[in-house]
Amino acid sequence: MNTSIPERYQVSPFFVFFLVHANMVGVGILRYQQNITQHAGYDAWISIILVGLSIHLIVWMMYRLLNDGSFDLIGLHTLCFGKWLGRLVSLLVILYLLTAAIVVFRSYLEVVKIYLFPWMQPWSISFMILLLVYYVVTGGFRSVTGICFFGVVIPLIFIIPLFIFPFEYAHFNNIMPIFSHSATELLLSSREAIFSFLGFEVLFFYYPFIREPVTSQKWAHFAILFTTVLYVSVAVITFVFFTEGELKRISWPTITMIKIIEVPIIQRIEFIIISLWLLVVLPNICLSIWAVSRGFKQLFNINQRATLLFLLLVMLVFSHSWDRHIHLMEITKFYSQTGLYLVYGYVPLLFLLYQVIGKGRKRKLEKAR
Amino acid sequence: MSTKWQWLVLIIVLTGCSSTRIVNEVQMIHTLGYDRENDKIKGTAITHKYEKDHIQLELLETRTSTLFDVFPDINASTSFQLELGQLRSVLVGKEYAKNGLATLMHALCRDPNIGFRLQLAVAEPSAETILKLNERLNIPFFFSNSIEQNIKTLNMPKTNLHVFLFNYYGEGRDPFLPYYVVRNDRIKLDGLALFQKDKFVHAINSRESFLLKIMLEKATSGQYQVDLKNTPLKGYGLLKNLYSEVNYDVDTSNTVPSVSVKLKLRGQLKDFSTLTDLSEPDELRAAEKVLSLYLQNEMTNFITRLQRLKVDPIGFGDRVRGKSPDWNYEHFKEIYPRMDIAVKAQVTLEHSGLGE
Repeated sequence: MNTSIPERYQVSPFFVFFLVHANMVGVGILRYQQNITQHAGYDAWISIILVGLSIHLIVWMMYRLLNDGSFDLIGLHTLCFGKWLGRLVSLLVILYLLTAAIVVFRSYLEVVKIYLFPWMQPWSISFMILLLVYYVVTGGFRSVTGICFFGVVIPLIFIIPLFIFPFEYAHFNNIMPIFSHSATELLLSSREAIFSFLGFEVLFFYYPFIREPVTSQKWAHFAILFTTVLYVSVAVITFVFFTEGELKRISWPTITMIKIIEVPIIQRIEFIIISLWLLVVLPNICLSIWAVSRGFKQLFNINQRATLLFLLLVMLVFSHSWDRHIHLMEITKFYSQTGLYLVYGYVPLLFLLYQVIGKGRKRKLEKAR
Repeated sequence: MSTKWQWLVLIIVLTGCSSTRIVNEVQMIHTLGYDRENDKIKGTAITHKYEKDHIQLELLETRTSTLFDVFPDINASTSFQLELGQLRSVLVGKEYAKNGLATLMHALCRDPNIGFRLQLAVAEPSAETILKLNERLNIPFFFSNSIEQNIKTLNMPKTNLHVFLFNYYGEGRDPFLPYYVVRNDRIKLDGLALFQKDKFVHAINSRESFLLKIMLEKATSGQYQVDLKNTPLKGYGLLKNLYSEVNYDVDTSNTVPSVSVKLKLRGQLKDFSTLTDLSEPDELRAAEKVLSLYLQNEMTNFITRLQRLKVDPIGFGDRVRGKSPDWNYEHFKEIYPRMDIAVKAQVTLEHSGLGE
């Protein structure tokens, strides 16, 4: 089973950096500090490094699986589980990606609602964002990649420099003493940190769209390294800016921290940041939705545009009817749990299965041809 | 997409301004005051009326049973919708502060409309008196401006809502706030109010707040009257700080930890009463020595007083916490008054310009 994509739809391996990084950084970075400090306190930055390292291993496994014949996930499933069971498993993974898109989309709406427009009807803004998503995704994988590129570069230029300002109030003594928590606590915090790293799994779907995909592995690893560094630095800046007791009482630490910046004319810079954040969130939604619609096309041979319209409608209805904070909490919890099992349970399992079953079947198929 | 469609999309997207709060149609609160009056909360607010060529301050008052009723209750007495987005300062009366600021802090730190550079302050005798006086004097943004000005040029340590919350929620530190009093029918910023967690316990004057400032941060301002009558210099004058830096060494090897404070200060000696020629190297050295010793003494006395009051605005506790893996805040509070804190100051003098 070879999924050959015409070269005019493919992107160069270099863009894997942006695809992987853009899809990992989403709304999580605005509030992950609170979750990760639950167990390991201000040692939690070590937990982030642990997660980053483990994800390098997972990505390495993914490339080993995918390189062996330019597969995507659906092809792999057919090889390992057979036609029908394979389809079922693929469908589950696709539904997981849809959840990912919904979680990111809903979280962003929540931030907008809290900080910008408390009386906003969620459908009005979601309609406009989804219109944009439709426009990007119908442009094909290349335009999705383009959005990922801008979703990394523009925030990097505008937002990252803002993290210099909190240093005025930095108390580096806050993170001392280092290693005051046990290994168990560090691991428990790592578990919480995984949520912010989810999103690189979509690689399973866009792998065939990379020109010379084997050479793209270094870019994927580089993206993960970059994400880890970013997360660790933002966490450390937050830790030296807030005391532990204060962090517990703040619901969006990154935005709250940016509140300290004072510039002429724009008194409250967080308004600008939240608006700009759409550029960070958009690649997440676009890439996941793209992967879901492509998955449906491969599985059931449905027109990709029809699926896309249906998916966007689902998201619109969802954001309108499930607009309470507890709904978001529930679905986020479900998503991060599933993500945890998918990344650390399922990917290694698939890796083993492929070594045992898949490789043999593939050889048979090739012989038959 | 055809041009017609593009226009349609543009029309939809560009009309996305549904929730507006236009500046002319809202009234912005710039200062809030809270007082306690026999189980009731007295709320005062200052808003600005922008008239043709000047700003008129307006005072709004209310008396409610809980803190959270204050804002809606004030809103009921204005024709425009009130907005907190421009809130610059919050004053609390002395009595209110003595009863603790916990509820107020919790409300302030979770409100997305409130900026972190908001100035908090304690008012004596009450926030109401001070705000009424402010209205009569008609000085817009008085509190935030006067505090910021004092941080930049005088003895006020860096302070704002963020600093207060940092000290309040942080383990091993106690917060402090600027302290306003009425003098000669004017509002005067008179030193600092020291807190024990959220409760106001003691006020220090602005001379003492200089000592706190140089021990909290790398200070580039501040003036300290020095009384050197009992020293070889025989006189009194003003020590002007140009740049100071402080270092802490914590020793946790004993059961009661000890701290040594090392201060380096570069300054000028101004308006000294008995003329001494500080251009002579020997005299300069001698004066520096005398001043160092004097400042060291003052700092030690100040710290001892803080220990006796059981307040820790300098954050000795936090420094001990950073060095001890088995930190217990309750235990530290008990040993804090017994802690051995040694101060070493080193003053370097620069020429005070033309006025010799």
